[in-house]
Amino acid sequence: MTARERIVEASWKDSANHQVALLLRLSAPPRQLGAERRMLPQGADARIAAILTEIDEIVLPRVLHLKSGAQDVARLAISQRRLIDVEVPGKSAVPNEQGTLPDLLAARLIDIAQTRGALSATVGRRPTMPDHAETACSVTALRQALAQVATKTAYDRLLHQIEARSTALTQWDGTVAGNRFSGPDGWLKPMKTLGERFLAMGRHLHGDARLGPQGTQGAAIPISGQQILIMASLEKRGFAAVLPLDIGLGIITDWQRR
Amino acid sequence: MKQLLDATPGIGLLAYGDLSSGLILNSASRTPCPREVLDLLGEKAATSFSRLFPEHLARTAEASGSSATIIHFTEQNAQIFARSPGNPEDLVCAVCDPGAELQPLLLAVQDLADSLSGPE
Repeated sequence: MTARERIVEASWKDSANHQVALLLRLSAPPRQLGAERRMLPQGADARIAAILTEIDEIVLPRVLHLKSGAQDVARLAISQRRLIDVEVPGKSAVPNEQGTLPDLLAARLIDIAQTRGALSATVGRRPTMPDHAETACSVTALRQALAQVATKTAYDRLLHQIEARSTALTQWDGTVAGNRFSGPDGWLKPMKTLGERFLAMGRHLHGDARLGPQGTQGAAIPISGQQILIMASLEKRGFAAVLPLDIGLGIITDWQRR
Repeated sequence: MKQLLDATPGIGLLAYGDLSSGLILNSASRTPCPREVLDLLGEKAATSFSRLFPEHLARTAEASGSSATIIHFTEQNAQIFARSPGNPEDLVCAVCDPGAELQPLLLAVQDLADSLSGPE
Protein backbone atom coordinates (compact mmCIF):
# COMPACT_ATOMS: atom_id res chain seq x y z
CA MET A 1 0.00 0.00 0.00
CA THR A 2 1.43 3.41 -0.94
CA ALA A 3 1.70 6.32 1.51
CA ARG A 4 -1.15 8.08 -0.32
CA GLU A 5 -3.36 5.00 -0.09
CA ARG A 6 -2.61 4.73 3.63
CA ILE A 7 -3.57 8.39 4.17
CA VAL A 8 -6.79 7.98 2.14
CA GLU A 9 -7.69 4.83 4.07
CA ALA A 10 -6.95 6.46 7.45
CA SER A 11 -9.02 9.55 6.64
CA TRP A 12 -11.84 7.34 5.34
CA LYS A 13 -11.75 5.34 8.59
CA ASP A 14 -11.76 8.57 10.67
CA SER A 15 -14.64 9.91 8.66
CA ALA A 16 -16.51 6.59 8.83
CA ASN A 17 -15.96 6.36 12.61
CA HIS A 18 -17.21 9.92 13.01
CA GLN A 19 -20.31 9.17 10.90
CA VAL A 20 -21.01 5.99 12.88
CA ALA A 21 -20.65 7.85 16.20
CA LEU A 22 -22.98 10.56 14.89
CA LEU A 23 -25.61 8.02 13.74
CA LEU A 24 -25.44 6.16 17.06
CA ARG A 25 -25.98 9.38 18.96
CA LEU A 26 -28.80 10.57 16.70
CA SER A 27 -30.55 7.23 17.00
CA ALA A 28 -30.10 7.08 20.78
CA PRO A 29 -33.36 7.32 22.76
CA PRO A 30 -33.79 10.62 24.67
CA ARG A 31 -33.53 8.69 27.94
CA GLN A 32 -29.98 7.56 27.05
CA LEU A 33 -28.89 11.08 26.08
CA GLY A 34 -30.41 12.37 29.32
CA ALA A 35 -28.41 9.80 31.30
CA GLU A 36 -25.18 10.81 29.51
CA ARG A 37 -25.89 14.45 30.34
CA ARG A 38 -26.66 13.71 33.97
CA MET A 39 -23.11 12.46 34.41
CA LEU A 40 -20.50 14.09 32.16
CA PRO A 41 -17.29 12.05 31.92
CA GLN A 42 -14.45 12.62 34.38
CA GLY A 43 -11.31 14.34 33.09
CA ALA A 44 -11.09 17.81 31.55
CA ASP A 45 -10.42 16.63 27.99
CA ALA A 46 -13.36 14.21 28.00
CA ARG A 47 -15.68 16.86 29.46
CA ILE A 48 -14.67 19.40 26.84
CA ALA A 49 -15.27 16.79 24.12
CA ALA A 50 -18.75 16.09 25.54
CA ILE A 51 -19.60 19.82 25.69
CA LEU A 52 -18.36 20.34 22.11
CA THR A 53 -20.52 17.42 20.97
CA GLU A 54 -23.57 19.08 22.58
CA ILE A 55 -22.78 22.42 20.93
CA ASP A 56 -22.34 20.74 17.56
CA GLU A 57 -25.79 19.13 17.79
CA ILE A 58 -27.88 22.11 18.95
CA VAL A 59 -29.54 24.09 16.16
CA LEU A 60 -32.43 25.96 17.82
CA PRO A 61 -31.57 28.53 20.53
CA ARG A 62 -30.90 26.60 23.71
CA VAL A 63 -29.09 26.99 26.99
CA LEU A 64 -26.89 24.21 28.36
CA HIS A 65 -26.94 24.27 32.17
CA LEU A 66 -23.85 22.74 33.77
CA LYS A 67 -24.12 21.84 37.45
CA SER A 68 -21.99 20.24 40.11
CA GLY A 69 -24.55 18.67 42.43
CA ALA A 70 -27.10 21.41 43.07
CA GLN A 71 -24.63 24.21 42.39
CA ASP A 72 -24.73 26.14 39.11
CA VAL A 73 -21.34 25.99 37.36
CA ALA A 74 -22.14 27.66 34.04
CA ARG A 75 -24.82 28.41 31.46
CA LEU A 76 -23.84 28.09 27.81
CA ALA A 77 -25.96 29.94 25.23
CA ILE A 78 -25.98 27.95 21.99
CA SER A 79 -27.69 28.35 18.65
CA GLN A 80 -27.08 27.19 15.08
CA ARG A 81 -24.37 24.76 16.35
CA ARG A 82 -22.43 27.73 17.70
CA LEU A 83 -21.49 28.82 21.20
CA ILE A 84 -22.71 32.36 21.82
CA ASP A 85 -21.92 33.00 25.46
CA VAL A 86 -20.70 31.35 28.64
CA GLU A 87 -22.13 32.73 31.87
CA VAL A 88 -20.33 31.70 35.04
CA PRO A 89 -21.86 32.76 38.39
CA GLY A 90 -19.64 35.34 40.05
CA LYS A 91 -17.69 36.15 36.88
CA SER A 92 -18.16 39.10 34.57
CA ALA A 93 -19.65 38.55 31.14
CA VAL A 94 -17.39 37.56 28.24
CA PRO A 95 -16.66 40.73 26.23
CA ASN A 96 -18.21 40.50 22.78
CA GLU A 97 -15.18 41.65 20.83
CA GLN A 98 -14.61 39.93 17.55
CA GLY A 99 -11.35 37.98 17.45
CA THR A 100 -10.84 37.60 21.18
CA LEU A 101 -14.11 35.75 21.75
CA PRO A 102 -12.97 32.21 20.83
CA ASP A 103 -9.96 32.51 23.19
CA LEU A 104 -12.10 33.82 26.05
CA LEU A 105 -14.79 31.19 25.55
CA ALA A 106 -12.13 28.47 25.27
CA ALA A 107 -10.47 29.64 28.50
CA ARG A 108 -13.86 29.54 30.27
CA LEU A 109 -14.57 26.04 28.93
CA ILE A 110 -11.20 24.84 30.26
CA ASP A 111 -11.99 26.33 33.70
CA ILE A 112 -15.42 24.71 33.71
CA ALA A 113 -14.05 21.32 32.62
CA GLN A 114 -11.64 21.38 35.56
CA THR A 115 -14.48 21.65 38.10
CA ARG A 116 -13.92 19.20 40.95
CA GLY A 117 -16.48 16.44 41.42
CA ALA A 118 -19.20 15.21 39.11
CA LEU A 119 -20.57 17.55 36.46
CA SER A 120 -24.04 17.24 34.92
CA ALA A 121 -25.72 19.00 32.00
CA THR A 122 -29.31 19.78 31.07
CA VAL A 123 -30.59 21.50 27.96
CA GLY A 124 -33.30 24.14 28.25
CA ARG A 125 -35.08 26.49 25.88
CA ARG A 126 -33.72 29.96 25.31
CA PRO A 127 -36.41 32.23 23.88
CA THR A 128 -34.17 35.29 23.52
CA MET A 129 -30.70 35.41 22.07
CA PRO A 130 -27.79 37.34 23.65
CA ASP A 131 -26.89 40.64 21.94
CA HIS A 132 -23.66 39.36 20.42
CA ALA A 133 -25.03 36.30 18.59
CA GLU A 134 -23.25 37.45 15.43
CA THR A 135 -19.86 36.74 17.03
CA ALA A 136 -20.77 33.17 18.00
CA CYS A 137 -18.10 30.50 17.73
CA SER A 138 -18.31 27.33 15.72
CA VAL A 139 -16.97 24.11 17.21
CA THR A 140 -14.07 24.27 14.74
CA ALA A 141 -13.10 27.78 15.92
CA LEU A 142 -13.43 26.64 19.54
CA ARG A 143 -11.20 23.61 18.92
CA GLN A 144 -8.50 25.87 17.45
CA ALA A 145 -8.77 28.29 20.37
CA LEU A 146 -8.72 25.42 22.88
CA ALA A 147 -5.48 24.12 21.32
CA GLN A 148 -3.90 27.59 21.60
CA VAL A 149 -5.03 28.09 25.18
CA ALA A 150 -3.78 24.59 26.08
CA THR A 151 -0.38 25.43 24.58
CA LYS A 152 -0.08 28.59 26.71
CA THR A 153 -1.27 26.71 29.78
CA ALA A 154 1.37 24.02 29.21
CA TYR A 155 4.13 26.63 29.04
CA ASP A 156 2.91 28.32 32.24
CA ARG A 157 2.71 24.95 33.99
CA LEU A 158 6.35 24.21 33.08
CA LEU A 159 7.52 27.67 34.15
CA HIS A 160 5.64 27.37 37.45
CA GLN A 161 7.31 24.02 38.25
CA ILE A 162 10.76 25.31 37.26
CA GLU A 163 10.35 28.58 39.18
CA ALA A 164 9.64 26.72 42.40
CA ARG A 165 12.82 24.61 42.26
CA SER A 166 15.42 26.69 40.39
CA THR A 167 18.73 27.91 41.79
CA ALA A 168 18.82 30.76 39.25
CA LEU A 169 16.18 31.91 36.78
CA THR A 170 15.95 34.46 34.03
CA GLN A 171 12.75 35.20 32.11
CA TRP A 172 12.20 37.27 29.00
CA ASP A 173 9.30 38.51 26.94
CA GLY A 174 10.35 39.60 23.47
CA THR A 175 14.05 40.19 24.02
CA VAL A 176 16.58 38.74 26.43
CA ALA A 177 17.82 42.27 27.02
CA GLY A 178 14.66 43.07 28.99
CA ASN A 179 14.91 39.97 31.11
CA ARG A 180 14.16 39.47 34.78
CA PHE A 181 16.76 37.60 36.80
CA SER A 182 16.84 35.98 40.20
CA GLY A 183 19.64 33.95 41.74
CA PRO A 184 23.38 34.24 42.39
CA ASP A 185 24.99 37.09 40.38
CA GLY A 186 27.52 34.73 38.81
CA TRP A 187 24.78 33.20 36.67
CA LEU A 188 23.45 36.49 35.27
CA LYS A 189 25.87 36.90 32.33
CA PRO A 190 26.12 33.25 31.20
CA MET A 191 22.35 32.83 31.38
CA LYS A 192 21.78 35.98 29.34
CA THR A 193 24.20 34.71 26.70
CA LEU A 194 22.57 31.28 26.65
CA GLY A 195 19.11 32.82 26.45
CA GLU A 196 20.17 34.84 23.41
CA ARG A 197 21.62 31.75 21.75
CA PHE A 198 18.48 29.78 22.51
CA LEU A 199 16.27 32.52 21.04
CA ALA A 200 18.42 32.64 17.90
CA MET A 201 18.25 28.86 17.55
CA GLY A 202 14.48 28.95 18.09
CA ARG A 203 14.11 31.49 15.27
CA HIS A 204 16.21 29.21 13.06
CA LEU A 205 14.22 26.06 13.89
CA HIS A 206 10.81 27.78 13.95
CA GLY A 207 11.54 29.11 10.48
CA ASP A 208 11.69 25.54 9.22
CA ALA A 209 8.24 24.84 7.78
CA ARG A 210 8.92 21.08 7.80
CA LEU A 211 8.73 21.07 11.60
CA GLY A 212 5.07 22.12 11.53
CA PRO A 213 3.28 24.18 14.20
CA GLN A 214 5.37 24.69 17.32
CA GLY A 215 4.30 24.67 20.94
CA THR A 216 6.68 25.03 23.86
CA GLN A 217 10.23 24.25 22.72
CA GLY A 218 12.80 23.40 25.33
CA ALA A 219 16.48 22.55 25.61
CA ALA A 220 18.29 21.16 28.61
CA ILE A 221 22.05 21.02 29.06
CA PRO A 222 23.61 19.02 31.89
CA ILE A 223 26.39 21.33 33.08
CA SER A 224 27.91 18.96 35.58
CA GLY A 225 27.00 15.71 37.25
CA GLN A 226 24.81 17.71 39.65
CA GLN A 227 23.25 20.58 37.72
CA ILE A 228 21.25 21.16 34.58
CA LEU A 229 20.40 24.29 32.65
CA ILE A 230 16.85 24.25 31.25
CA MET A 231 15.60 26.74 28.67
CA ALA A 232 12.16 26.90 27.10
CA SER A 233 10.20 29.32 24.97
CA LEU A 234 6.76 29.82 23.56
CA GLU A 235 6.36 32.55 20.96
CA LYS A 236 7.99 35.64 22.50
CA ARG A 237 8.19 34.36 26.07
CA GLY A 238 11.04 32.29 27.40
CA PHE A 239 13.17 31.41 30.38
CA ALA A 240 16.47 29.86 31.35
CA ALA A 241 16.96 28.21 34.73
CA VAL A 242 19.58 26.26 36.65
CA LEU A 243 18.37 23.32 38.72
CA PRO A 244 19.72 20.21 40.37
CA LEU A 245 20.07 17.59 37.59
CA ASP A 246 17.66 14.97 38.96
CA ILE A 247 15.00 17.57 39.80
CA GLY A 248 15.24 19.24 36.39
CA LEU A 249 14.92 15.97 34.48
CA GLY A 250 12.05 14.91 36.77
CA ILE A 251 10.19 18.16 36.06
CA ILE A 252 10.43 17.62 32.29
CA THR A 253 9.14 14.05 32.64
CA ASP A 254 6.24 15.10 34.90
CA TRP A 255 5.38 17.96 32.58
CA GLN A 256 5.17 15.63 29.58
CA ARG A 257 2.98 13.24 31.56
CA ARG A 258 0.72 16.17 32.62
CA MET B 1 22.94 0.05 18.68
CA LYS B 2 20.08 -2.38 18.13
CA GLN B 3 21.11 -4.21 21.30
CA LEU B 4 21.08 -1.00 23.35
CA LEU B 5 17.70 -0.05 21.87
CA ASP B 6 16.26 -3.46 22.79
CA ALA B 7 17.72 -3.21 26.28
CA THR B 8 16.50 0.35 26.95
CA PRO B 9 12.76 0.83 27.33
CA GLY B 10 11.74 4.44 26.74
CA ILE B 11 13.85 5.00 23.64
CA GLY B 12 12.06 4.73 20.30
CA LEU B 13 14.99 5.54 18.06
CA LEU B 14 18.74 5.47 18.48
CA ALA B 15 21.09 6.90 15.87
CA TYR B 16 24.75 7.54 15.19
CA GLY B 17 25.79 10.50 13.10
CA ASP B 18 28.47 12.94 12.05
CA LEU B 19 28.19 16.45 13.51
CA SER B 20 30.32 18.18 10.88
CA SER B 21 27.97 17.16 8.08
CA GLY B 22 24.82 16.89 10.21
CA LEU B 23 24.14 13.44 8.73
CA ILE B 24 22.77 10.38 10.50
CA LEU B 25 24.88 7.44 9.36
CA ASN B 26 23.25 4.54 11.18
CA SER B 27 20.08 4.08 13.18
CA ALA B 28 17.88 1.56 14.92
CA SER B 29 14.22 2.17 15.73
CA ARG B 30 11.23 0.29 17.09
CA THR B 31 9.06 1.38 14.16
CA PRO B 32 10.29 2.24 10.67
CA CYS B 33 11.61 5.79 10.50
CA PRO B 34 11.57 7.74 7.21
CA ARG B 35 14.89 9.14 5.97
CA GLU B 36 13.44 12.69 6.14
CA VAL B 37 12.99 12.37 9.91
CA LEU B 38 16.58 11.19 10.32
CA ASP B 39 17.78 14.11 8.19
CA LEU B 40 15.88 16.57 10.39
CA LEU B 41 17.30 14.94 13.51
CA GLY B 42 20.88 15.24 12.24
CA GLU B 43 20.30 18.84 11.19
CA LYS B 44 18.79 19.71 14.59
CA ALA B 45 21.72 18.13 16.44
CA ALA B 46 24.26 20.00 14.32
CA THR B 47 22.36 23.30 14.81
CA SER B 48 22.12 22.70 18.55
CA PHE B 49 25.80 22.07 19.06
CA SER B 50 26.94 24.88 16.76
CA ARG B 51 24.49 27.58 17.87
CA LEU B 52 23.50 26.67 21.38
CA PHE B 53 26.17 24.71 23.13
CA PRO B 54 28.56 27.14 24.79
CA GLU B 55 32.16 26.10 24.32
CA HIS B 56 33.08 26.64 27.95
CA LEU B 57 30.34 24.20 28.99
CA ALA B 58 31.56 21.70 26.41
CA ARG B 59 35.09 22.03 27.76
CA THR B 60 33.87 21.63 31.34
CA ALA B 61 31.86 18.52 30.44
CA GLU B 62 34.63 16.99 28.38
CA ALA B 63 37.33 17.84 30.93
CA SER B 64 35.36 15.75 33.40
CA GLY B 65 35.62 12.87 30.93
CA SER B 66 31.93 12.72 30.02
CA SER B 67 30.19 13.52 26.77
CA ALA B 68 28.66 16.92 26.04
CA THR B 69 24.89 16.54 25.91
CA ILE B 70 21.83 18.53 24.85
CA ILE B 71 18.26 17.43 25.44
CA HIS B 72 15.57 18.92 23.24
CA PHE B 73 12.06 18.58 24.54
CA THR B 74 8.49 19.47 23.73
CA GLU B 75 5.26 18.37 25.40
CA GLN B 76 5.26 15.30 23.19
CA ASN B 77 8.81 13.95 23.32
CA ALA B 78 12.45 14.45 24.15
CA GLN B 79 15.54 14.01 22.00
CA ILE B 80 18.95 13.47 23.53
CA PHE B 81 22.05 14.46 21.55
CA ALA B 82 25.46 13.47 22.92
CA ARG B 83 28.84 13.93 21.33
CA SER B 84 31.80 11.74 22.01
CA PRO B 85 34.47 13.30 24.26
CA GLY B 86 37.26 11.64 22.24
CA ASN B 87 35.95 12.64 18.84
CA PRO B 88 33.61 15.66 19.00
CA GLU B 89 32.31 14.96 15.47
CA ASP B 90 30.79 11.65 16.58
CA LEU B 91 27.17 12.05 17.59
CA VAL B 92 24.63 9.81 19.30
CA CYS B 93 20.93 10.71 19.09
CA ALA B 94 18.06 9.16 20.99
CA VAL B 95 14.37 9.92 20.55
CA CYS B 96 12.61 9.19 23.84
CA ASP B 97 9.02 8.07 24.27
CA PRO B 98 6.60 10.68 25.67
CA GLY B 99 6.86 10.91 29.44
CA ALA B 100 9.81 8.48 29.64
CA GLU B 101 12.10 8.81 32.70
CA LEU B 102 14.93 10.93 31.31
CA GLN B 103 17.71 10.33 33.82
CA PRO B 104 18.43 6.63 32.99
CA LEU B 105 18.08 7.38 29.28
CA LEU B 106 20.53 10.27 29.55
CA LEU B 107 23.07 8.00 31.24
CA ALA B 108 22.59 5.25 28.62
CA VAL B 109 23.12 7.71 25.73
CA GLN B 110 26.14 9.31 27.43
CA ASP B 111 27.66 5.87 28.02
CA LEU B 112 27.20 5.03 24.35
CA ALA B 113 28.82 8.32 23.28
CA ASP B 114 31.67 7.72 25.74
CA SER B 115 32.22 4.23 24.35
CA LEU B 116 32.75 5.69 20.86
CA SER B 117 35.98 7.23 22.10
CA GLY B 118 37.16 4.06 23.79
CA PRO B 119 40.65 2.59 23.38
CA GLU B 120 41.68 2.24 19.73
